[in-house]
Amino acid sequence: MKHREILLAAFVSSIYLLAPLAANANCWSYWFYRPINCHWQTCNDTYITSICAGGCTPGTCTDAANSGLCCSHYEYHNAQIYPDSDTCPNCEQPPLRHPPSRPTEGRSTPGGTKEVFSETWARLVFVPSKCAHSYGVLVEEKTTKSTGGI
Amino acid sequence: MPRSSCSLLLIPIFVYLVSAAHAQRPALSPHDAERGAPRQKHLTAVETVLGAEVANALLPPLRCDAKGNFYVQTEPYGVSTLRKLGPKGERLSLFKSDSDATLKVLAAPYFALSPVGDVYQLVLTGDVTRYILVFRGNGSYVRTIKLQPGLAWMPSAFLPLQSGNLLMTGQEYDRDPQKARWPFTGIFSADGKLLKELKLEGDEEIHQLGVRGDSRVTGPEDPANNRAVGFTQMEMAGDGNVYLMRWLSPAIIYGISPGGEVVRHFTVDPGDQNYRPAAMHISGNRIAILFYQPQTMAEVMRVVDLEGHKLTTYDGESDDTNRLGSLGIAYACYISIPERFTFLGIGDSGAMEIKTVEAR
Repeated sequence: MKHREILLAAFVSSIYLLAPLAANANCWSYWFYRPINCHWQTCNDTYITSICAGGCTPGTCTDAANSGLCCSHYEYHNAQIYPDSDTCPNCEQPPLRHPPSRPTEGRSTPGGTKEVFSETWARLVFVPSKCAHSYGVLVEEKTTKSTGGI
Repeated sequence: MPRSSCSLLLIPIFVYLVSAAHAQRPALSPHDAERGAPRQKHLTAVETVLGAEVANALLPPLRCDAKGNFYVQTEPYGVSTLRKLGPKGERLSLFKSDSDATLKVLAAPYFALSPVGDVYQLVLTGDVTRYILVFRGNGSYVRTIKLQPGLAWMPSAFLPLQSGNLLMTGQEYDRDPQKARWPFTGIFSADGKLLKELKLEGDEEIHQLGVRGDSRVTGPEDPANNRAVGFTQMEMAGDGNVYLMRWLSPAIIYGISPGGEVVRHFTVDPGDQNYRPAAMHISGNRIAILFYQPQTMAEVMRVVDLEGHKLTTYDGESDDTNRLGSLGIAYACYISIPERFTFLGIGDSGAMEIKTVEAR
């Protein structure tokens, strides 16, 4: 009898403990804000923050799972999706179109084609940070050739 | 020496001075040569107003209206605090994203102004269906638009048109959520139905950059997200067309007619591929784009006409603390005549600052 009571208590406790997670189980995506400016004393910097929104990745999502400090002063957060093996029926109705049969060749527009992209490679450059008195890593893109006509 | 001989001596000196001046000018591209050299100037803050509002962050987009009012989001989570502020920073209205009681809103991260001053606010729920709330300029809720594109997507940017239709762009989910999303642009009716899908020249290549994991458009936080599309900006110009900017360097700009035709397509080059677009604003027939270098925070403002011809460039070379480069990238407003720019900031006390900047 005592054993059954313990099992029942464990079962009820597990419902209470798992309820918040279950409520959060859904299908998710991120919304990313464009780079946001922060300014503190002599420091001027940017950060990117993200939030949870309904989407097509099954699982749970936490808005403030990750955090950082901009200019060592302004705290910001980034969301985190924890995927699971569930499905997202709302992403199937209407059906996803992908991979769609989209044309890969460019189409002309008034004014003709413009050179838009460049084939580049990146190299790492270390840049001193005035704010943190440390070095940041800069990915510098070097142009090798240009492609046009998109 | 006779007077005529003296004049003859002055001619070669004049020719030398003119040629030397030309030699110091930066090389011009053929495009520049069409309209002459872009003028290089500095921007200087001429007025800073400390407002009464307090903020932790100034979230993009930052906008202003024709009356000089500002629209600012300061809180990323929950019921958004989109505020309308007067020219001196005084609060005029609040736009509450929980105004539609039928929606369980998680966030309202984006908004746009209609030609008549209404505020359209994108709200995100726990579902993949997207909604837009419509408010009057005084903050009163009008209605909700349920977007019905016939596909699963995440909107990035939109603009209400004079007709009441919406030009929207965003990213369509791939069947595999881990794979690069697809650029999508369309015209929606005032009640949210997709009227027309637009194909923007270059979007296929932008998608391929995402597929390849190119660091210019993707990041480790969500490799499927394409920043060139996700950070798209759009505003309406004096010619009645919407100018849509993909977030790349050089920035790619499309002029789109209210009917959904791409009537212009050009790029604006900051002159250095390490610069990224911070914000674009349009006044009349001029587009002013602020670019910045994320590591050094160096900045350059390019002003072009509606065909992409360079008109003016403002740089941030000076160490003067009032000049571009120390103003940050919270660039909220552009007025072309007289040419002035408005930047927002947060003072050390947490109060919002409004900085008016002019060429000096």
